[in-house]
Amino acid sequence: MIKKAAKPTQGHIWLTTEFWIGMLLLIVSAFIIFGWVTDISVLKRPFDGPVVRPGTVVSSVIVALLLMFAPFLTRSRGRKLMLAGLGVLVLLTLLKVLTLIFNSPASQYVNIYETSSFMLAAIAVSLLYSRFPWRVRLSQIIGGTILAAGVIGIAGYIYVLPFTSGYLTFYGACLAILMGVGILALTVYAFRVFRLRLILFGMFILTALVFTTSATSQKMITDYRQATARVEHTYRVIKMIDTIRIEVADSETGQRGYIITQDESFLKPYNASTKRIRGSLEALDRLIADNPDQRPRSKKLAEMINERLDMMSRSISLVKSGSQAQVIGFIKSGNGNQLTQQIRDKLAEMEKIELELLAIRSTTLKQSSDSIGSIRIISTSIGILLLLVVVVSVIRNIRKLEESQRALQKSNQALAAAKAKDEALLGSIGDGVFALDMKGRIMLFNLAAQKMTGITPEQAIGKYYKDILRFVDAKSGTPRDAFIHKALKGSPSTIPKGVDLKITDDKRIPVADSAAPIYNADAQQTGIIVVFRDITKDLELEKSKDEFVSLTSHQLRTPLSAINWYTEMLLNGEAGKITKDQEQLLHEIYAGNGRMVDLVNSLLNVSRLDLGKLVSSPEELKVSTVVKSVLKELEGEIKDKNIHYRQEIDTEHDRLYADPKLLRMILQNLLSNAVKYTPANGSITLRLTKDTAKRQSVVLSIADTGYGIPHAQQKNIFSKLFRADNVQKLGIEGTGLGLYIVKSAAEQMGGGAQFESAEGKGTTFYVNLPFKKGPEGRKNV
Amino acid sequence: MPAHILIAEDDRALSHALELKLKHEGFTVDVAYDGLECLELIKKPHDMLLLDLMMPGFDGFQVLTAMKENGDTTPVFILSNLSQHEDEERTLALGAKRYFVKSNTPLSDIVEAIKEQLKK
Repeated sequence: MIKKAAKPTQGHIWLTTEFWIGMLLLIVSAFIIFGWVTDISVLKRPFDGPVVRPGTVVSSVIVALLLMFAPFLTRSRGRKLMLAGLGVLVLLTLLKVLTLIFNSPASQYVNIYETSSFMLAAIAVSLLYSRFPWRVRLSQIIGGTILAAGVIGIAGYIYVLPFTSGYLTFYGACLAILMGVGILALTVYAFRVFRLRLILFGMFILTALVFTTSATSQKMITDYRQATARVEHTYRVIKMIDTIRIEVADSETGQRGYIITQDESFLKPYNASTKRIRGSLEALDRLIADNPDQRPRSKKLAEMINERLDMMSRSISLVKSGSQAQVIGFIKSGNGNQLTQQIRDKLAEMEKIELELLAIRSTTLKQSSDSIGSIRIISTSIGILLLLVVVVSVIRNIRKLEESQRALQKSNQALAAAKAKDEALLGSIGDGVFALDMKGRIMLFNLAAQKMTGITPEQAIGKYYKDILRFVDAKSGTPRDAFIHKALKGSPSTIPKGVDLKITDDKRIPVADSAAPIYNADAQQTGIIVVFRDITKDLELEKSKDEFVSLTSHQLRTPLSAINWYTEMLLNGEAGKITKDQEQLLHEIYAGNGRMVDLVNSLLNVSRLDLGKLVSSPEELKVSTVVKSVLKELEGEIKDKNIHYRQEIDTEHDRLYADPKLLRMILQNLLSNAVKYTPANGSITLRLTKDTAKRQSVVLSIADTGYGIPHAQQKNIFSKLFRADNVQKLGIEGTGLGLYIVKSAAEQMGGGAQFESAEGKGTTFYVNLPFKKGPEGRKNV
Repeated sequence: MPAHILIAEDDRALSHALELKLKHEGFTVDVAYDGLECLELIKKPHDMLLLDLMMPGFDGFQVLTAMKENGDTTPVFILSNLSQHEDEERTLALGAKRYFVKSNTPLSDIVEAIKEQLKK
């Protein structure tokens, strides 16, 4: 089993979303720290309003760093970073708990909710990049929890914001941004884990909701506060009116008491009230300064009260000077009572107006309060709804993920089973098998290959084949791995004859078989597979077969030679004169024997060609010379059948560097066939020209006007022992080996053989041979 | 004076056929049935030796080698049923003048070649 190590993410660090979100978190945290440093008052009163606590900032910095660097860390380093971050967060949480227990003011510096949220975020981020199935699962659960916590937190923030300060402070704004960035980080995280567009959409809406709700509540709370202020103001006015009323009454009571009793003690409350009345009047005037309707009334009231106070003052002076009767007359006139009544009426009038105003303002206040309530209810509902949707889709997605994981696991198991099967299959194959990638590195090496070479798969896999598998020429010992290059270029190839696999300097194994390209599902070549086997035994067998054939043919030839020669002498009349009938019978014997000789010769040639015994050993030769010698053997027959023979040999290509035996074999078979299968008076044309289709090649063609080859049988014509029906019916003798020999010999010389034929019209055979200059020829060039 | 030809051929039928033919053509003929006998007989001067290769005991190659060592310059034609090119080359290298595969060669061709050789 190959263990797969989790690799760090490739690419530039600044190209990841996580990096930029982390950076944003850092910047925001820096702003907050900057705010603390520059505004000491916040440190003194850290809880008046939504200010950010130090614990929260530290947590956010940790999460920011994790986000920025986790994707680029290896598994172990990622784990260390995660543990370090978690350690700090756990310490902060502990600090909070301890400070709470000991009732220390330091507890205010850590918010358990924010810190634990960030702690969970840190765990999730770290787990996300650790790439283990169970950790991914855990990180999904934690991720889901944070997501939920985030949404609840936002809903809570919407709810709390208007009541905590009523206006956005610098730190409040910072916290809002921090939470916004937190949401963004969570969103990206959730999107990475769940790949759910709904999450992105939901978070977008939620963020928009946070901002609109904050803005609207801000406006509403201002309205509400204004309304409250107005109601309070009206209450103050009413209270002031009441106060004035009481003070006026108190003054009058004091004055009356003094006039009746002339007791100085009654003057004490009178003096105090009179003194306060003036202040109260000024206060009332100030309070209603914003109300143009009430101002004239207030002025009138002040005038009336002043007049009344003057009256009272005069009465008291008269009593002090002893003019008691004058005072009583003054009272009896009723002017004072009248004025007091007027004052009371004015006060009542003013109070009535204020009470009406209070009713209106109270309604406004209630409306304002109701709107804040409803916006809170609406936004919280939307938040909870979104939360539900997100949670449900996350749960569904976790299920889907689990399903796909199960499916993946299943297919992995199936793959492993298939691989085991393949390995067992390859292991049980008796032939050596190895596979190479496109660079020539060994990907597979089976048991048979190990047994043959002594190299274990562990030693072989991953190495370049050239470093451990040396395919060499059996004779020269020089490297011979063209068949591998051919397969790497995309064509299947066979290991040619005479290739050895060199095991050590002293040990070599003759090998055979093939190499073939391997393709993937996209039809792209991914490498090659080479199958090879030890052919030592095959070679031994071939050798003994060859020896057997040589010996047999030699033994067969001896009696055949005897028959030949004695028949020849009898026919020549060397043993006395023979009759015509006897001569005819002797001719039959001679011809039959000749066929037997041909058959033995052909069989011997086929056997040698098949065994690769007739290796091409080229030398400088003239094709025309070989043709001439072959024609000499056939001249009797050509003459007998009155065949017209023509030849066109291109003098430029007459000189070839080729094997004379093989060339002779080709010419002998093709020319004798042409003569044999062409009826009397036909013609045969031999041509030797440059091959126009192939460079550095010549074409030897022999065309006859013979019986031709039936179309249906043309595909078999080069097969061993095959003879066409039409010539067999004509009773023309043949072995069925000639064309097989021609093709094999041509291939042995590096060329090939083709033909064109039409039954009843004739046949043309084409043999193309490489046009090579001999070593001497090359020297001259 | 007719030319004196030595035939070295272990197969009786073949040696007899050659003997008959050559005598018929007017040559004086000696026959050896194996290599050692051939070497014995060749000590006497002959105009020509027709030598088989595959013979019991001392084979044609050994005869040629021995003749070369003895400085015998009697022209030699090889008459064999071995048809491999290597065999032909080997005998020609050992001094043989021509090489015939018996089964592929009519007696008349051999006689013609002998006559041609003797003219030289």
